[in-house]
Amino acid sequence: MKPSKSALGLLDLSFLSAEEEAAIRQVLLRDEDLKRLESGRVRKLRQSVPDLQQLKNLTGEWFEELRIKRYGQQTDVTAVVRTSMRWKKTAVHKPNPFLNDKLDENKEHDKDEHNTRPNASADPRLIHPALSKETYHQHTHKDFIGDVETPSAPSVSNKKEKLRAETDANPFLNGTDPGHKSTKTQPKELSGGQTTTVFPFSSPVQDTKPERSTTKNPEPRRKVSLPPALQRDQSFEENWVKISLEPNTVKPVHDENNSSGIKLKEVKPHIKNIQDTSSPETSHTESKNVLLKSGSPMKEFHFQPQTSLAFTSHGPELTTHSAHGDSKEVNKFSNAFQNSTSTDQQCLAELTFRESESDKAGPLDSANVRDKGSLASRDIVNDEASSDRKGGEGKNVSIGFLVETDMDQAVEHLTGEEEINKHFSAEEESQSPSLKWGIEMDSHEFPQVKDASSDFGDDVQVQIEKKNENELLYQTTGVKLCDKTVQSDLDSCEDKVKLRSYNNQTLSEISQDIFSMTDDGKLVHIREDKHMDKSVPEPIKPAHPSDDVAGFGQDSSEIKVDVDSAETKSDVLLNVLARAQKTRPPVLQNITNQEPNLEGTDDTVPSIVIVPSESPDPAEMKGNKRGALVLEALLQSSTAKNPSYIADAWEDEGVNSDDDDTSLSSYGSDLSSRKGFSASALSLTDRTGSLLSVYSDAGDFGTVEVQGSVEFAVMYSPVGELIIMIEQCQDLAIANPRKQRTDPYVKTYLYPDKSRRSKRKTTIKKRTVNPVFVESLRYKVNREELPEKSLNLSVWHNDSRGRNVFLGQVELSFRTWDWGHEALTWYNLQPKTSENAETKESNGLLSVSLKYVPSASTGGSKSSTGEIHVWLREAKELRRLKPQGVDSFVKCYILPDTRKKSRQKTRVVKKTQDPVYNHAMVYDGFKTGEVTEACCELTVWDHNTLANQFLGGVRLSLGTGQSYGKKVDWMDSVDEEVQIWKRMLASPNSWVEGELPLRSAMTPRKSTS
Amino acid sequence: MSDGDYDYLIKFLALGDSGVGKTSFLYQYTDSKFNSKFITTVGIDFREKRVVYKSSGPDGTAGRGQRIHIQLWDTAGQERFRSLTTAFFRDAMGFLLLFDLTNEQSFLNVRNWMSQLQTHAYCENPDIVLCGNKSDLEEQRAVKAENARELAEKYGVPYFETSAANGENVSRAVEVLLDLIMKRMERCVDKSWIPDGTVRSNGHSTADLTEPHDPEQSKCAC
Repeated sequence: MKPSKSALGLLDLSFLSAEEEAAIRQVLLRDEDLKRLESGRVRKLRQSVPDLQQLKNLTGEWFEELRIKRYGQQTDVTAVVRTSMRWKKTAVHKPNPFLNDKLDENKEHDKDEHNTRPNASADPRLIHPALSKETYHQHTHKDFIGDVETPSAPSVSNKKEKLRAETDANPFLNGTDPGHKSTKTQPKELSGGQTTTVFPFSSPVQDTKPERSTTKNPEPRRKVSLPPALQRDQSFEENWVKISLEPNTVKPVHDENNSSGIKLKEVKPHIKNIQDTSSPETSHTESKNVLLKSGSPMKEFHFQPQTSLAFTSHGPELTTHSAHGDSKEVNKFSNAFQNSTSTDQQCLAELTFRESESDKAGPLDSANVRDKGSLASRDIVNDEASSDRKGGEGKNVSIGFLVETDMDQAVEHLTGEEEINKHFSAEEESQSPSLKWGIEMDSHEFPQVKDASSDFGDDVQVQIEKKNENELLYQTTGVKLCDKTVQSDLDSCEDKVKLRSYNNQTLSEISQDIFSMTDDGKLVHIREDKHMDKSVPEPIKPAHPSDDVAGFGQDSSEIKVDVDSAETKSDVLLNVLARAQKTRPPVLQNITNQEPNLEGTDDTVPSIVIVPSESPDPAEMKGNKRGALVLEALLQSSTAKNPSYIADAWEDEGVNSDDDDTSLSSYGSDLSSRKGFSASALSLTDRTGSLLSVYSDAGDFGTVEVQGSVEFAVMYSPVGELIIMIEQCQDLAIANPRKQRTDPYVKTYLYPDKSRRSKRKTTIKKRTVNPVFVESLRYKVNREELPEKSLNLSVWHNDSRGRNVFLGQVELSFRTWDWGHEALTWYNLQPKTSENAETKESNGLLSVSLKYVPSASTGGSKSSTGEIHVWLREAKELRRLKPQGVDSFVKCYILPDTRKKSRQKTRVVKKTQDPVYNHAMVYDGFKTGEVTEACCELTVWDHNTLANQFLGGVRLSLGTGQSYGKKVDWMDSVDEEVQIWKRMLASPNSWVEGELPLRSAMTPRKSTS
Repeated sequence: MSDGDYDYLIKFLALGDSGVGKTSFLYQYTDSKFNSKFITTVGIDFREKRVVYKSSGPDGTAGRGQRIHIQLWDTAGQERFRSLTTAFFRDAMGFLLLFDLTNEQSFLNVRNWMSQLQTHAYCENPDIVLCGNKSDLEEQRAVKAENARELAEKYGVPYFETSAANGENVSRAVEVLLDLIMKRMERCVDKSWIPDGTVRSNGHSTADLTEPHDPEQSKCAC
């Protein structure tokens, strides 16, 4: 029977209601459990049953073979269904894969995934900024027009949707404009016209405010879709990357007044202000002013002219400001989360406000709206952002959160609006896709939403179901009065947000700095904006989980479905907030820690070549302690320039890099343990193993038999991104047999680039051999370049000491890849092939000459100590981490002296796998007999802007395993390493030469006694 | 039952019109219980049961009990779930096609279901057992036994009149299906299996198998 069926493509499951989807997911999960059980059983069988035929029977392979005959290799049905659920809407409306899906997904995920999948994140595939924008746009028109008659709810929800969708780009970049006062901008904006849109992520928004305000329907609505990636920890760095790529977006603008980050606290007062001002502020300007004026509290918010979303004790309130002085109802749901949740961004979608054109009931002023307990949406960002843009600077878009309580009358007011004008500035339009994140919250993260939604009548659900994805979001049946639940929810959210707010602010402040992307794809804080609060700790604290954020997001997505429910909305928003907070990648922390210090490390690499026989400056020598390195004086410039000793060390040591072996660095786990070096030169350094484990880039500290499988999907998004969606793994090996645990994470490289730039990692899941990630790893790559690349996906166990253990890998070549195959697929993990298993030889050779000048016994006042001269000639066949050739340099230490100042480095030789250094160094201070206790450690590094990558190293010594009587693991020279040292000692005062194979890994320099 | 302590994992799938009694049938089989309340299945569900199978064939395995873990997929009969449920067809090794003896339309739709199976199952002639359920509601019977048997013959599938309410023929139907699968499995793996017609006759030991199987149906896909 030949295969006659095509692959089981994604199903259109749009007919499923939220509960149904949840129920089905539960079933799928049970099935997964059974499958897991079965695969474990099968694995054992494979090992124990010799008879192939019998094995096939027992394992069910007989059946699979038959099926394959008919259908070819197929993705597992349950995976397809799951994927289909995520793509629920997209199956029908291809162009808009993300927007609605996320919303629905959120609901669903919430319910069942909440408990089972802790890390469920939005499916990155669902969030396609470019696409979502479109749909959002379409929807808007449709809905609003249709909604004119209906109670505000629909429009409100629409708006919410829009806002959410609109939250583009840098959710986390705070688009605060120092000079911006909403007041001043309001008029301008308002004058323009009817709607204003809140762009939380203004970054690219360049146009002036007035322009923005005038932008109306014609302007494509920005969809804000939060890349699911953002919601996940891991993807954070990618998100950051994206943002940083966008010059405009990185907007350091830091305005005291408009600090980034939404502080609920501030919101409240803000709102209260409005309330106080009560009034008839129909004028948008006015209300805006009020909002802004409310003193510091409002600082954080940037208001878009129209409405602002604020959280008050009553919950989110939508204050509408009329644009032109007459109260146009503007429903803006802005995500004013600037806070650093910018990182979280996703959650925060800027709410778009719409001014109602119709005049509904006269000017609806914020007060009115407020009274109704409507949502207050703030438009953050933007005015400032716009002004910034004017300046040509990218503006960090502040992130607003979508908070919606019930809309009742407020909604009604809004009803009149025809549509939410997404008033996105041109810049916003032009925002790089990467900056746009819709609030497609992953339903996984909105448990609350689920609950809330369950309260809602079927009618709502039904409506939603029936709609196409665009409409789904906006369909609302009615608006309920804000009820206590909502408020309480919001209150709790607010509290949380408050707690976070500080952090958020911190982060947002930080985020305002200029970031640049490093080769590694990390966001690097390269300079501080003047507004930056210097006191802000460098590390961006990625993990300020603000549950609120998530909540909001959740809410927003929920709102889409069920506008009526105030609870839902606020929940959603809060959840979004929370999620945003939560999902800040830990990586960030490290990045900032390290990045700033990394700069220029290698600038100081000396390029002088020291003539070996030169003796150091006597004065220097005198000052040298026993074993001090002589050439310090001569080469001091290099080391002296490194202000941050530790950072430098880290950097070189690859701390920042996410090398497998030093993964602890990226996860911040070991930073604290990386202390300075002991001052005493010959004392046995107490470097932590973690630091030194850096020396084994891509090294594997374990020997674990590969087992299990990994489920992931590969897709290429039109915006030029390769997205690897890592779902989960099954049946991984126990990496730490002693502790019987595995803390797995998934790492990918886009070969042929094996450098850090190409590395991506998921978060680490603790203690599980069946980790569920649901994270996406992204690569910016052009479609045409893809076929030449291949994906190397590996699963590792994260060891607290950085000695990570390889658990298996999957390699996919894109040359023959079927890009239509985007469903989650299980792949069995493979062991390392000999090709990519690191061997000594594969790391190249180091050509070095040594000379030992024994201490001269003189009777003079100046006793000359023995010297070791190290002449680094060249290296050959270095590991090709980068396709164009590595930029290598060599570092030299004479152990046990690990002081920074004792270290010497060659210059960087660029773009070659066979660099010629021709660099000589002299170390002196060796008394008789000391040389035998010493070890010359030479390590070759690939220089990168932020972090160097280990290429290989050698340790030249007698290899006795001890030094000065103490057992040390760095006296581990072998073979040629020992040979050359011996030869050196045997031929004092003369050069001995050797070509040594570079080790791929070097053990930590710890004393083992 | 949550351990991997079994020899075979066999997956079946129950399909048929909405309301014929698929869920009840499976519930009766796995739990020996019956709930007369009608709760429509949402999309898809499954139940599990552990049984011991003894091959009754003349081959060497006769008498040795094999622990079978059966995963019984229960599909929604409602049309709206069709796309979802048919996706699961390909995952099942055997099928229980149910219709309601008191509902003629459900019987008439058997034809459609068979064609669905042919299209979506793992091969074109999977193992199927036809069940006319609700045999306990004799007074409401709308489908004659002989008509049903005729249809079953036509398709070359075993036919049972079952009752989820009182358990009549429920276990037997499943066991027969299991037997079909196990036999097929053994045949498939053994590449030197003999042509269809002859092999098939080995596998059926129950008296209820009314007709010799259609050679088509017994053709192993391998």
